[in-house]
Amino acid sequence: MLRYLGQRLLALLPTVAVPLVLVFLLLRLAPGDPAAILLGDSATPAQVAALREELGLNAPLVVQFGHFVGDVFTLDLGNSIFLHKPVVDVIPSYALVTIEISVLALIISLVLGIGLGALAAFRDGKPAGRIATALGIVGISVPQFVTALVLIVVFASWLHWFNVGGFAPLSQGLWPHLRSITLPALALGIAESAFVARITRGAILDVSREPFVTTARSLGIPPARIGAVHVVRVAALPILTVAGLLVASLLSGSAVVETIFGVPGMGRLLLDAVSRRDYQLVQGIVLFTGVFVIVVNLVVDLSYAVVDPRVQLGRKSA
Amino acid sequence: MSAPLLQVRNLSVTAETPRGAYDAVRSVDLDLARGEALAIVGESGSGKSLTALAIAGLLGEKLTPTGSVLFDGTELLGMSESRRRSYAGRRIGFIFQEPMSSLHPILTVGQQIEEGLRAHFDLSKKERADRVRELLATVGLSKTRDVARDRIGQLSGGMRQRVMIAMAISCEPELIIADEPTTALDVTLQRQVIDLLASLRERLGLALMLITHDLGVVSETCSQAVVMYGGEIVEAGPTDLLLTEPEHEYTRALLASIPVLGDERPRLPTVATIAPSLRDERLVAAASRPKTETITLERGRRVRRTLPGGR
Repeated sequence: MLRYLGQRLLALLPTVAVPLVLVFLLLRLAPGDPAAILLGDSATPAQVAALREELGLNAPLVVQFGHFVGDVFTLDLGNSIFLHKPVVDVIPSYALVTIEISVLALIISLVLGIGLGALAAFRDGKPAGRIATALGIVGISVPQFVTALVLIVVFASWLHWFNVGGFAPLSQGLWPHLRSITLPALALGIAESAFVARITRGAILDVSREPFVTTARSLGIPPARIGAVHVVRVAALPILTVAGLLVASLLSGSAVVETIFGVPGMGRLLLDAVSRRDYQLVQGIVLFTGVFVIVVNLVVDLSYAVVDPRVQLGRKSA
Repeated sequence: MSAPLLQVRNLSVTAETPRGAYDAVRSVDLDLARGEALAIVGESGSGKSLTALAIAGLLGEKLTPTGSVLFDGTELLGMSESRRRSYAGRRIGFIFQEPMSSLHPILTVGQQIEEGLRAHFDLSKKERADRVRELLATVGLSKTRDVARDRIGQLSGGMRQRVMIAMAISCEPELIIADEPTTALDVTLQRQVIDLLASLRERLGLALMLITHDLGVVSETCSQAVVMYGGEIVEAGPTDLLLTEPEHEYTRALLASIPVLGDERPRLPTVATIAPSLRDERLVAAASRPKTETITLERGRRVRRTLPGGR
């Protein structure tokens, strides 16, 4: 078990390196000079050149990358060119907001998705099941920003349950804070729940055709119990896998939702950083997100052992 | 003979295929008395498993049974699902062919045997656990405490089928339907499982319906036998007569294909006929099928015969 954990942690390194190299190259190759942007339109070429020198942007790419990797391992992600603050200090407060929204959205999407998917599967072919299936297709087709706008119109403009925008940090109290992140989490969660619903429906329908379900029927076990105990125990595995993938999808979706709701989260920070060509910050965010997603998936892998006792971690199956 | 425990009359199973409906089982009549054993013999595709599933009410979606299945005087066909459940497991136990896929992969042996007990009896947790260990001991397993905690993947093939049998008898049914219970096992285990079934039948007074293609098994375990071919019963009667003086050519062909120790024949005879598949059967529509009649011989023997010029 420990050995397995060690192997998995070691395997993180190359996994993290891939997005790192890609982002490093893409930003360097993109048009636009960070020094020029930072100094504004009125800057003279001399000023720009001086700043480039100061930031080390004149060195060959390989050297820049070498410096970068070295810094990463000492947790020095450089300074944000725009915010004039160390990246390591900038990210946590933004990341916390995004993680809060994502966790809330994950809960919403799992509850909604598994509920809808189970309904679609157990009532397959019947009206309730068809409606659930149709809702799932609608959910997959509607983009997050549309869902977000509809939520704003209905719950904020008409019903006045929430404020249209305006983020309340935790310092303003827990309740106002939760209220301000509920709609963004809903917008994110609803979109992802459709995906969860599809996987859940498929998994339950597949498992329902297994011979052990017929055995359970031959023993006179009530259908509700067959569904809740016999089928779900097996169908939970693909759903768990999807939950792991969902985290990555939620983090990227947060960029859209945070922009619409004016939430100062990591997604919006990333968008801003990209448009300002704030290399250091972009790299920091990508590194953080990458490690976060990989760690979450590691946790998902480990949790298989809890859901499915047949999984023996770190042992080759016979 | 008093009223049989199971009386099947004119049972047909209609399969809905993309090319239309067709009868996979046609006009099956069966009688099984309490505590007796009946064998249903036939090759793959002869409709013997479908007959068993129809009796137990376990047919899949696109299969519809018609006719009559009287169990202890009650009609099982057309029974509501909730009433069927009060019979399933409790009065009719079913043993499936493949214990590996027919048993739950994640629930422990104890948990899944308890599921049936939970459905039919009001027992405390402790009572259920005790009953599980008792059942496991009944089917000849030792270290019952450990086995109850194991998952099916941790057991050997023979142990799995014993667990399957323990499950089927867990709610003390009067009838056990065993659908090729030994096919998935190697030869040495087949013997053990058949012996177990035979001894359980005697000890618990069970009626046993044994579905098999192994005629050797039939002669020792079952007093009555039914031979099915192409969805129909071609011959039925006391096992000793059926095996020694087969009337129907298909029964004869089946018997001839059994290898005997010291056999001088260079090649084992095979059954020349081929069971009609669902597709062929559509082509051979009911009208063009040879006309047959069932004649009754001595000691309740029944044989299906093609009528002369009946085509």
